[in-house]
Amino acid sequence: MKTRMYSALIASLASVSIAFAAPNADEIMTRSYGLAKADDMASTMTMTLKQANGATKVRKLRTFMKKTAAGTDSLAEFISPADIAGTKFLTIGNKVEGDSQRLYMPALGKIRKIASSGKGGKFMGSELSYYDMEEHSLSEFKFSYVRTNVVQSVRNGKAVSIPCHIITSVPQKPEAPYAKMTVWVAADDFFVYRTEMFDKSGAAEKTVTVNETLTTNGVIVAVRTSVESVSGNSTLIQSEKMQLNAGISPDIFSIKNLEK
Amino acid sequence: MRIQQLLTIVMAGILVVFTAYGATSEKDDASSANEMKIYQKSTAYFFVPIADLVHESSLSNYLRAPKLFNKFGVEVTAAEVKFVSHWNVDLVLQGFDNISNIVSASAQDNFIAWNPRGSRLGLGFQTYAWGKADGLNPTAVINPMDFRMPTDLKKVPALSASYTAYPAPWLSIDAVYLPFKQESILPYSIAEKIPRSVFNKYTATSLSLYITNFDMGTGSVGMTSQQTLQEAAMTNDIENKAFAFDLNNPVGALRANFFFGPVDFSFMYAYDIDQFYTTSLSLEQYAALTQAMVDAAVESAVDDAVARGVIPGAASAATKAGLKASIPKDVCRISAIDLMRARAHRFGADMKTTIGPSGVWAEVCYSLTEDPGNTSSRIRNPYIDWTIGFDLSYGPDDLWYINVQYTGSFVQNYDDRFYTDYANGLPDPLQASNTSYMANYYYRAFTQKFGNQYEGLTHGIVVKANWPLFNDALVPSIAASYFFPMIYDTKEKTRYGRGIIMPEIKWNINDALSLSLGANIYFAFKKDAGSSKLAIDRNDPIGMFYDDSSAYLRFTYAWNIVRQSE
Repeated sequence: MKTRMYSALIASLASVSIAFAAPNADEIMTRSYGLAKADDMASTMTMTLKQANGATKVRKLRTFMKKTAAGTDSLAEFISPADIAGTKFLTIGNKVEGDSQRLYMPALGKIRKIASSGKGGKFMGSELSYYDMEEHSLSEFKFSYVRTNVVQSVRNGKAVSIPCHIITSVPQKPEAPYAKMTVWVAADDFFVYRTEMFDKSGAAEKTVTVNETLTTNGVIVAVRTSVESVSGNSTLIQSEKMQLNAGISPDIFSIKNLEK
Repeated sequence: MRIQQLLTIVMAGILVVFTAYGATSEKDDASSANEMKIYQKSTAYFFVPIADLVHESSLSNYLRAPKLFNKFGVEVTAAEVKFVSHWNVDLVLQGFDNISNIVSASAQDNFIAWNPRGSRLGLGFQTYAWGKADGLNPTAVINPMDFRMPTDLKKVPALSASYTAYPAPWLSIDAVYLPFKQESILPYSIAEKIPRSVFNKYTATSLSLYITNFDMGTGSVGMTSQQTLQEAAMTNDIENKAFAFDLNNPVGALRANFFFGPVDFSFMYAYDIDQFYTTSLSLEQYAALTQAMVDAAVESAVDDAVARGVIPGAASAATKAGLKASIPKDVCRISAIDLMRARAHRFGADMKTTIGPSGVWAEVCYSLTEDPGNTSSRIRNPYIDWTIGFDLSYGPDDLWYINVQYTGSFVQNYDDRFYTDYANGLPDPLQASNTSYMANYYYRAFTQKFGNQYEGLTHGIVVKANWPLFNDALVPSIAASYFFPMIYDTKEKTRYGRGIIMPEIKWNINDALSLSLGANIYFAFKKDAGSSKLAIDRNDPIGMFYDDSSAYLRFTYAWNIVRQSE
């Protein structure tokens, strides 16, 4: 099993920018990737998993993320439901040797070193894949400009229509689970508000839409995000109690904290 | 368990932690909020026997009785202090003659922990999760075990003090102290396993001898005997030397854990107490035959042999005198059995790494049982247990899971010659009055058996797999184990292994409620000496549950509340 914190996705999604006046795909994406990011972040997250038949499950978790010289450390602790409450995922980021991940299972009181799973594997039953949760670099994709369109979202509590550049992004690494993605990048703040994923056969697979953002100290973060799969399943992710650059102690990302 | 002492600890913990919870603590980062968690989980089981429908009523058997297990817990975290109180209230519909068989409340984890920077101190009833293997953990020696449900072995929280130091991100050191070692909960009464006949006195009310041959050279005779025995039931004097709350038997353990990118590993040592029994026997000699009875029988038998021409008349007197002196009149019986638990030293190591998409682990523990009197047949022999395994997620979206473990055990100098040295497992009647011989016989019969050592070498394979379907709504799964014994007494029986098969299908109705249909199938096969028929081995540690093989229906309901204060 493997996991990545959703906060990593937020950081990834928040890092897209372009110059609207000059619709050059590479330039737009370079600006988007260059958006200001938090050095650390804590939040409480509610994931609502809806199945096509209407069945709904709710997962609540606390997430912590902190950038280090080696990479990005993260911790996710499930609060509910009861059968997985207390489960913690710790990722110690290391760009050189690869991330090290451990899982704490409260029922067993045990820490397990966990293996990487396929990039296409789902994160805790949601419609997000582990690939979606990872931070990616510009060099992993080839970009091409498509057109402009408008997306509806909420910024800092106000509903707005946001003009966007639509960029086609083709992954270059073979382990990527997608043939291509179309990325909707806001023309004004270069934040990614929508991503449409297409599977290896080229068929539409799912759409990630940022329904609400919040800007704090110049950092744009997604507060409410939906992931809708063509299967009819969907995942709604709501972040609360977000704290950016709160000075999270590095002790949070430790074996001791897993056992605490 | 002395409930007053337990409650004292619990109440002290509640007082300290709730005082701290109410106090304002300075937050040093986003994770230091005070928190209270409350949870409850109820599991109801209904069993239908499948191996032997008429063996006995389900309502008289712990494994097959309908059950309702309830777990309640509260955890309060206030800054660096955490208080944990978990309780079980179980309802088992068996043994209606005694309410305590039906309803039981037991304290589980009840401890207070202090987590200052770089260390952790815990005090109270705690469960320790040592070992990186999956459930088959040779190094998990600190907690006693509840062995009553072989498909769901549980650790019994141990009253203990624990300290963990985290001197570096890649290192932690655990130290655990138990003032005494509580007993494991066995699925049977050890006293009932000891045949009452070993205590009883057997005295002859009549004796007749028949001489079959005579050696002129040595004067020795061959003969058969017939006697009528009168059995006198004696006190079943079995004392279980339990030492919960006996401070003369402390346990200590140390472990060093190393966490590196490619691999996690640890080393441990425990100054432990054996969880299984070592028998200490008291033997008593008593007169089973009177001299007058022997004299009369010898006179009659020799006269008969002379009349039949088996013994020359000239040798009659000498033969009579010799036989009257040599036939043992006294025999040994066991007058008392003390069930001890011996000191044991444990040395263990484990490791866990990942290879591609697989988790891979290994764990080993050597247990050295102390033998201060060098009486090896009276003490469980040292043994080594090991587990090697891997797990893997695969299939669509990596949702399917398989876990395979090879496990084994080797007992040094296992005694596999009992039935060679004692024909049919019985002592030589002519040695019946020899205390040393009989003591050795009884120790060899008991020490390994009651020490849970059934063979000198065991190889086992355990496989678990599940295949979640329909977004985890339906989860078929199977767990199966097979253990193959080697190095054992083949003069008694030939064994063909033992195991458990557990198929199950679980319906997750929602996050709180699930319904499972499954089966627990226990087996162990043997061929008795001289028999070609394959049979169930009910004296096997798993085969003893064969008649408890059941299909089951299980409901599980769980909820929790988490409240944080800013």
